[in-house]
Amino acid sequence: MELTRRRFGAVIAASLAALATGAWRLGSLAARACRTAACGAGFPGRLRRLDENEIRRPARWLG
Amino acid sequence: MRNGTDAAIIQTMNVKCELCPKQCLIRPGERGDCRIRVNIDGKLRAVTYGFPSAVHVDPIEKKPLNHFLPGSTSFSIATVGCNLHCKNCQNWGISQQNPEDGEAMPLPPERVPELAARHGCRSVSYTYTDPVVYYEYALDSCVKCHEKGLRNVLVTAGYINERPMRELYSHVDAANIDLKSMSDRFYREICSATLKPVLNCLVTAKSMGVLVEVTNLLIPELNDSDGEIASLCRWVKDNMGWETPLHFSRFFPQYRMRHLPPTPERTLKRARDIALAEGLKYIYVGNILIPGADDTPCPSCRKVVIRRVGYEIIANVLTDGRCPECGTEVYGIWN
Repeated sequence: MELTRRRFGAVIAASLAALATGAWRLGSLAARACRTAACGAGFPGRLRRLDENEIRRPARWLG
Repeated sequence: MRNGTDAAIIQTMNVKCELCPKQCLIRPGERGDCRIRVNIDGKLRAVTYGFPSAVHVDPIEKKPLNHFLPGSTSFSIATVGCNLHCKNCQNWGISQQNPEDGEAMPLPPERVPELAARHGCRSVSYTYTDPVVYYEYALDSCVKCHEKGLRNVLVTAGYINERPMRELYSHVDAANIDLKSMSDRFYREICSATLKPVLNCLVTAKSMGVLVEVTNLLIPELNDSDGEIASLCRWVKDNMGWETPLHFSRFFPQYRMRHLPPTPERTLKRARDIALAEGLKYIYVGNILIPGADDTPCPSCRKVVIRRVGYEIIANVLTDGRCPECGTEVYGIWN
């Protein structure tokens, strides 16, 4: 099939559109996947009440 | 087709945590390397937000910070989890614990300043484990504490990406940041981390006006050679300034490094001598009692301006942050 000027333009336009769509999709995927801030959630371990006497004691942990 | 659709959905629900240089890609239902940042239905969640596992009132000298409100107490909190897994960790019982295996107390950020003030503390420290992993909790608490006139302190390994680091440190007054070694190989093999982000954190924190003190834990055979100690001191002096306080800390066999002996006293004294010879002015030795090793000298005339025994202040003759003898300013936040 002969490649006319009009057909060549259409191929180029379609290619650019496909590239732009791909780039947009990749960008949106990346944007959705990357987070710095996390939301809170319930603590999955055991919960206990704050003990004021324990707070007053220096920690056994370093730092 | 359905499988393909499901796969696509699962792919889009992956979360990449950009908080620390590990940048964990977390699949739904899984957690990051720090154990506490979890992907729940495509959302990154910090499951320890508002749930510290340790809450105590400590002397500020225990952090250790010797140039920040000496003699004051600091309300100290930590949640479980850490983004480093140092084989020598001395707090591994809390730092290397999964949240579901641990205990915690409900303490939302807005209650932190109230409790700290009730216990007579002038600052709140985010410590014991690494506040990097409970970043959102530490950040929100810092904001609340500043609103109430309390100071904020971080005790950290400094393994954090620059953007979140700048946001957190803009609410921080003082930090003790570990510099575990000048060897990237040490960071990789012993701590499951890398050196460069830590160096960046140290320099950036100092440049932001945060009072930074550096701690180096000396481990026999691993990072205690004269060459490595000198290289660390030179780096601190050249990149952070001679006025940066440096703490050499004594190692004790712990966690996955029980085969090595505690750091000998002579090693700590040798490290102190090397640091002074390299031109640093404020050198301290921790985890061991060596007479005079906790004292703060005037950087000019070397007169002792703060005398300590362990965490206790025996004498403080600083006058408006200056040496009473020669008037030289001593680096620190004193009031």
